[in-house]
Amino acid sequence: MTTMKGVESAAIFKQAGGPEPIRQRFEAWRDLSRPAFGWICTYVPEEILYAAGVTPVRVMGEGASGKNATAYLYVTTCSFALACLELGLDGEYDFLQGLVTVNACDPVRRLFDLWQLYLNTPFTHLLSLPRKLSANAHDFFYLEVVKFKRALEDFLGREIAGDSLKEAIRLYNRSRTLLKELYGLKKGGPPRVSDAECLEILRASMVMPRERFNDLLEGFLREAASRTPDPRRRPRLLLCGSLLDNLTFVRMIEELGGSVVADELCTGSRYFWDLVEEGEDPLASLARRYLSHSPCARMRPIEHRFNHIAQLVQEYQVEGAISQSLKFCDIYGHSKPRLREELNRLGIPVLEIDLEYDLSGLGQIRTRIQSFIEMLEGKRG
Amino acid sequence: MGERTEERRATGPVEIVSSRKELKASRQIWPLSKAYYTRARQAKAAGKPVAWTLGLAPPEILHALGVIPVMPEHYTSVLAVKQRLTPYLEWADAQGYPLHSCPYHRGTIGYVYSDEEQMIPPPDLILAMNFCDGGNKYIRPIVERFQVPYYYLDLPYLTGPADERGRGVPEEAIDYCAGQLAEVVAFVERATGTPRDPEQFHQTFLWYNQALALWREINELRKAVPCPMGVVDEVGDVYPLMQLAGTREAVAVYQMLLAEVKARVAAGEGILDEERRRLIWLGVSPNYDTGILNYFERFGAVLVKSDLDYMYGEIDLEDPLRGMARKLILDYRGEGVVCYAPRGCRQTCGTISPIRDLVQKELGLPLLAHEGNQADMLGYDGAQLRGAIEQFLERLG
Repeated sequence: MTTMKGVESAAIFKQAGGPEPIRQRFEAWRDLSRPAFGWICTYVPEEILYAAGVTPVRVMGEGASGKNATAYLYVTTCSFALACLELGLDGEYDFLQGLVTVNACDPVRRLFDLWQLYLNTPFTHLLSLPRKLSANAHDFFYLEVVKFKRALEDFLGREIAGDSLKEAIRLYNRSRTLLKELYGLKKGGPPRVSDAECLEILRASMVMPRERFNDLLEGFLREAASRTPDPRRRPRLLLCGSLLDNLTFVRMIEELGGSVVADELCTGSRYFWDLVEEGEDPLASLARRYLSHSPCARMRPIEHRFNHIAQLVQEYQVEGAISQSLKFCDIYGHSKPRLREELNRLGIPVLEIDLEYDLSGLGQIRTRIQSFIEMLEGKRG
Repeated sequence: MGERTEERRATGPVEIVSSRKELKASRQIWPLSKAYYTRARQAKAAGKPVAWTLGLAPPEILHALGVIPVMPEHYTSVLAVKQRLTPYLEWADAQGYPLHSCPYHRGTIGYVYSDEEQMIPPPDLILAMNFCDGGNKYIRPIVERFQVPYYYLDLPYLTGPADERGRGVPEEAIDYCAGQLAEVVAFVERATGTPRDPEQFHQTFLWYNQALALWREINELRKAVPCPMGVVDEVGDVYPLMQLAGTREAVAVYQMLLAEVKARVAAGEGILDEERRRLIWLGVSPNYDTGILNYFERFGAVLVKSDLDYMYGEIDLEDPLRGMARKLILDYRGEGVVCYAPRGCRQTCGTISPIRDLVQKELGLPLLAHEGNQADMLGYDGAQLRGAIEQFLERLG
């Protein structure tokens, strides 16, 4: 496979990861020989979809406010779930042949229930995801993964071979390694890549064919590694929370003088941080990795998440943290007070914000972020 | 914690009235729960282990192991009924716990951190279960406050239909759950230093089954016309199942309740002599304004059944949610449905749409869906809700 030059890769990522809704961006890359299956939540073993010969597409809510879905999912549901349902009801996800998710949280469970009731996606599947990492939780989730594979095979009328799974794992692990290298360009000094670039690349990964994505990212990294970074010392920020994939937000932070050097978002590092073990039993490896990957705040023990965050703080020389949650998110909302204590204990000031998924009402938040960045600059002296 | 601040938190004209129980047995439930709390405090003082059950964790297994279970969510609802929850909610809000979250969780965090003495004793151990997102998260601050051993029971999520006898539940889910329940037993034995008593274990589950069978028999009788026992009584009468399941006491209470309901059916005695309308109530009700449940009676309407006891009932294998709602309406001859959507509960509110379709489109019945907050009085307008009920009943004719 020919690798692209870095500059050309960046241009392609800009297009594939741009602000347009998923459907539009996906159309440019769609392989009509492979049906498209949507997935919601980083706990869905994407490799199984890929190995089955379908194209996994991450279902997101961009382009919808969610207001038209409140008649179904209720106004006090998180705006991500509302937006996804609205797009589904508007027909924007009619191209999907399947939808797969897990019982990540109450809104996603209900989103799935209503998707099944009101939309006509031919294949739908929800894996029961434990909240613990005990031995019997792992045993249980392994069987859930096996059940998912079988359901997919029944629907598609073909077996998913072990070799295909191993190949899919290898491919996705390559993406993970490359994405970690991308994030590595933000360590140890002024970053060589901007937050917006990283987000565009992650957004591109949601719609692009995997091999092509890897190829382009390799080219991009070669170019980026040789860049001279902006010498301005911007406060180094960690972004904690769930779903935040809007380019407007990170560009705003850059504009205000900050730099997001690390994140633990579902739309960020949580997606790629941990590799799947490339062993003899691919399903067992997938189940193990997906259950125990960089944790969502729904998982326990809570220390698992805090330790991971502490490690990011150290590795990326973080100076301040923005703790974000979507409005009406119980999981991340309830986690904030404790997370604040943990970060303060590490000497890291925290700005807590509630956002709507479509970033409406960003004006007020902009002011608070600006003050926060100025405070961090002042702290340096 | 400061003075009660209900006046600040309720807006608009507020009409708040306590409910009027119909049955003598129902009027014993509050004294029963007070007595139980007293017993729990006395047991704690005598060095007997007390466990808090969070997220609707099963109390019967604790009764079976000689531990006194206390259900904080029930106590939080009691505080809400007494209109004493507000200061605790405000404390939790001020600490940054999400305002939109369930008031049962916020309120519990508030009184746990208040250091004020409560009717329930602090725990020696905690058994928690995953019931919902907020329930999943509020465990941690409570555990950290009390610094006691705790076990988290992670129920697998059923992705297909099943009934309460286990038909349809995948074997792997049963294995996962059963494995954890075995760990619960070991956990309690370790925490208390007392091995389980096989006889007590067996007897507890016998009493549990008896209590459940009695409750079901009562529910069957409630289908009678006129309805002998309605939702006003049911919301309190379900308490023994929630906290005393597995005790002889629960059996005795339900035997008493059953006798009274039977006598009323035999005598043709109902909540109202003439029922103009029979209605089904879905969801929780405003704890601080329990009189709302009686309000329908002024207009000749009776709330005959709720879904509060859904976890103890039979589930339609084919279509659990809609099947349950359909069954309630048809079995109890419901002519309309009142659905109370608690703002802080994502999983309940997410069902309003299919419920609406079922009731209005499939069954052709009228539906009153009202948004509210079952334990937080913030913004509550009792007059507005009563007005909505009146209009709904006028539409029914």
